[in-house]
Amino acid sequence: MLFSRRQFMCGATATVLSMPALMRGIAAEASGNLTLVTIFLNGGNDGLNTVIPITTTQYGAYSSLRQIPGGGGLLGYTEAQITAAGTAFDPNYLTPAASATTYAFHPNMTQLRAMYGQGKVAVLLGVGLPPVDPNRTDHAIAQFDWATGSVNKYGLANTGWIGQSFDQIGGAGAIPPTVSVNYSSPVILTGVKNSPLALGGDIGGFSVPCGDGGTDCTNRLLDLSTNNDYASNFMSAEFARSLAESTTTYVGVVKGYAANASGSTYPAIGNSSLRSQLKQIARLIQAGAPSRAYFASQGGYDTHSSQQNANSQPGLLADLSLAISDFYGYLAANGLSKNVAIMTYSDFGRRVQANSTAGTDHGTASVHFIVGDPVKPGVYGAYPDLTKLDANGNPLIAVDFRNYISDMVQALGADPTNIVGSTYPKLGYI
Amino acid sequence: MKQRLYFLVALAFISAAAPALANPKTFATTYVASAIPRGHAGADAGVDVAGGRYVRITASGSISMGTFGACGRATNPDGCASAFSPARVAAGAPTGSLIAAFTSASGALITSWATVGTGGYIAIPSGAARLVLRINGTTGHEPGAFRVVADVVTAAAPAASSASGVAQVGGVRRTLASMRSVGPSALSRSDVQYFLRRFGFSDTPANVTAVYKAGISSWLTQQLNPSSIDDSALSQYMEPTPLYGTGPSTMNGYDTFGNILQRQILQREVASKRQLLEKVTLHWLEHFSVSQDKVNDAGAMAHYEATVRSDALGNFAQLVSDIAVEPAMLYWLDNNNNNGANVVTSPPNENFGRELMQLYVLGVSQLNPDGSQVMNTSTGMPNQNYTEADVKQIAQALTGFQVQAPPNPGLVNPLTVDSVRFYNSRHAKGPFTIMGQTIVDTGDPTIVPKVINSLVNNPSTAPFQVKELLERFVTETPSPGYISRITAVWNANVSSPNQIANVMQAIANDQEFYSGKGSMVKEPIEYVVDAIRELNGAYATPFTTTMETPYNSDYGALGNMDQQHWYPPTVFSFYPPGDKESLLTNSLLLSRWSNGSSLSNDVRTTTLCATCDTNVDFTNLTALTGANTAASVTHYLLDALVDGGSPELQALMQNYLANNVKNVNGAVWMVLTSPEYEVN
Repeated sequence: MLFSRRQFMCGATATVLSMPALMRGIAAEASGNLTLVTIFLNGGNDGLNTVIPITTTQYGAYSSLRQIPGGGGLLGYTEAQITAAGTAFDPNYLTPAASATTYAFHPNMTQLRAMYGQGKVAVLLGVGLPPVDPNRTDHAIAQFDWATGSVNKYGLANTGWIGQSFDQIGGAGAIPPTVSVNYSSPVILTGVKNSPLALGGDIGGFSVPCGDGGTDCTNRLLDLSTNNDYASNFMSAEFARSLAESTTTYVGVVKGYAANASGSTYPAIGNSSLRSQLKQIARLIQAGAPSRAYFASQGGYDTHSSQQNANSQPGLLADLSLAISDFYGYLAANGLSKNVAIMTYSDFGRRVQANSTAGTDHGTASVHFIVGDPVKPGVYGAYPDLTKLDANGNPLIAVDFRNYISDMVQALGADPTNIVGSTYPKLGYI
Repeated sequence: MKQRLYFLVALAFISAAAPALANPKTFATTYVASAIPRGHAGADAGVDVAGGRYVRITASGSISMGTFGACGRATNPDGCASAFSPARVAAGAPTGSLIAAFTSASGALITSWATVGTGGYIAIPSGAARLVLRINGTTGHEPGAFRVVADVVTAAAPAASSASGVAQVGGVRRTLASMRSVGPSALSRSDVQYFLRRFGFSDTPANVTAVYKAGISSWLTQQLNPSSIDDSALSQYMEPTPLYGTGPSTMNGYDTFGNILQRQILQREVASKRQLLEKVTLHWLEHFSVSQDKVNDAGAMAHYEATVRSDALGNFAQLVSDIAVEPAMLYWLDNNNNNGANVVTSPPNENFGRELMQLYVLGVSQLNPDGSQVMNTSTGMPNQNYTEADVKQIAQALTGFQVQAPPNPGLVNPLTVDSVRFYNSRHAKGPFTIMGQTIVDTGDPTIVPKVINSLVNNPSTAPFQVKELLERFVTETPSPGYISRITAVWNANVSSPNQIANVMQAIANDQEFYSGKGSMVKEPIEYVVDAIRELNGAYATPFTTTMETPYNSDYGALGNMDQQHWYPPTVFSFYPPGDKESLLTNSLLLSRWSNGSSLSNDVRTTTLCATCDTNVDFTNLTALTGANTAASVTHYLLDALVDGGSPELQALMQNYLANNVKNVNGAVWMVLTSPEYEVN
């Protein structure tokens, strides 16, 4: 059973700080400069079609295993399609697409390809959960592993690797060091000393209504949530009370940030949830919010059937590429991109062989991106050999996910030893 | 004489294990009961009697319907003693009696509850550690205003002429923690409200009192057999089911029949008398969660929900077998058109097979009957229930089904549009071996119940399901003992057509059921539906097509709170079992605050609205709350919505209403945004 937030807040930890202090974060400025934006690709993104191997042997394996049964064609892209898209790339990021012979981004990820050529993208190949975790192909366990940077601790831990990093390096003060912009309060951002601030939707809309037509009832709600003796009798009420207190505390602060950065020149977000989330993050950064870790998520990657439909993986990756490019472009145009990095992660990759419903099932190794000015551009890890799959038809991982996380923990300014469990060699992507 | 014989036995018992006492001949302790504000659970008041032979209770005062006094548990409770002298009891106020029972050190009753006869000495039975005291009230509102003195005596025979209230030897004054008013089932009114919030969507104060008086077990017996409850009035408070392809004919007529079908779920939860059925149906809809976002077929979603409801209190294996071949489920987990004709070159997808095991039936890890994981002693890791090979086998076994969804069915009931066909030519050939069990395949749809029964009979299934039921209905930290006891009931009923009903009964009757009080936060659906029912918004006005559709704005509120019935965000439903607090984050709390006002805005204090979707009738404050005052309205709202709440909330509301007692909507909103209201 997962520890609930309530247990954590009501004294499951050895040191119990007063609730307002917990919610407001540690007063000291966090050390280090990096602002991390994590994008979770929810459902297990098929890495094979995100970065396609175009060397002869690899592409041969890819195109034969990815034939959709019943003559459905290729669950992937032909060489002609890849050439036409212009998304091919080599480990040397300066090689233009027309001359590249090693890999290709998904044809819809043209903006990411362009950013790669400008030296803003590190591609991490063959990253995934290790075989020592027998449940690495189940969503719940896999997502938990990634969030906590651990294996086989499902139900036994309640803090995530980003939260633990900020436990070490300190928090922001005005608002917590970690902020989620998709309504949820994810474990990955939760530390012992800090809970993330959970925003959703437009940060300007983060306000406190009244029930009788009045416009701003922050004070009334603050009255209700402080000094509430009832709450001391019931843990659930205490949880609600302290959450209410922290929320009313942050409302004014967040509204201030929203007012300072209207984001009116941000590119249109259409009806894309991801683009909306990244826009909110950009506005907070622009307004000078001191938080250093943001979390956004994009759903729909569990493509067991009809994976090549335009609104399935192709549409998601198009959205992802555009969202990242718009976000970076906005920050760069405002001189704010120097210390901001994006990293993606997902539950797992997917099966090499296409299934009978033109989709793919849960797999292992996948591809992820780190994007921004701080990255050291190029290719890291290794593309799994598609002719040497394991007994379940999955590629062998080249990079343990904890190794991926370890580099980023250090980039934030924290020591990874007690977070991902051992010291991994530096990959060097940032 | 029996008593003397008992006395001799008691003497022998006591001398065998006599504690060291300062005065070996007699000692006495006196206790004073103080009043506590309503709504606080508190422990039973009691007197330690271990080591004593006789106890005498002297009590003065009586229970009354008094308002909150100045004393509460935060102030010195002894200061309350003088507040409850008989002169302060309101004339004509209902009274009750003091009842007591002896319990063992573990709290188990040794004698049954009986009215305390004051003045005489009662022999303390063997094994008794405490004499527990309660107030036997008539409505459950009584705050408890007895002044109780208890003398515990170890002497062979009590002194005949000891004055009441005076310790026999060096007494110690102690204040009892609390006194609870209890009804026929020896449950307090607060317990009854808790019960109705968990096993239903709560109820009006008047209905809570009715259940309190009749006793919980008669309510439960009826609710466990929903067809025994006449629910014919329900159709007056629900929109009618539209025909496929039509829009609605309401005032606001812009809507799709899909939205109507969704609102019907909310309308049913609010107004159905079969409350336990609706609550358990909601549990299964959350457990076997399916999202319209992917299914994209409103008739299929509504049919799925109807199937779940018809099996909700029945047999679990039957429930799973039925939903496995529902069109909505076939779409949701990609088993529609899953082709097993050639599993090597065209492997079937594994989505349904895997999630059926992982999420729906038995979970990832092997479980003991008490819910703990079975650990592999050499690796130190939990044993897994299934391997990747099992996933492939079960995926193959469940192939061959296809939804038949005719594009132009005409003006028919949308729930009847889709059907399901099985194609043996697309079905992988068995036999199949799943988790060590071989399943014979006859190439027809009976493969489904065969596979399901195999999964259901796995020993991990019962604790997996029971733990989740307890986490939903009782406590997010169920004890291993509780899980074990209910698992035994689950297993004993595995072939019964009333399996789930029997399990729910066992959950409610378990000694640990009330341990869950105050331990969970409300889901958004509970947040909304409970409030409507508690304020009697459910039956305000029968629905007519000239009105706004019932609870339309509340249905929208659920969307903003991220819990619309048909839109669980992922395969993990709205929240992981045991973690309802993930439904409360800063922004989701703001959503509750702002959307809770969609209900408070429905409160009418002048005239009812003839066309509004909900009317919460507060037009006659005196009739409803006893008076036309800030105090009476506050008192009523706090009782209805939060079982009393805190003195702080009460003070805020009374100050607010003192400006204008008709601003009931603002006061309601204060309660809905309080931490108290978040408590389930």
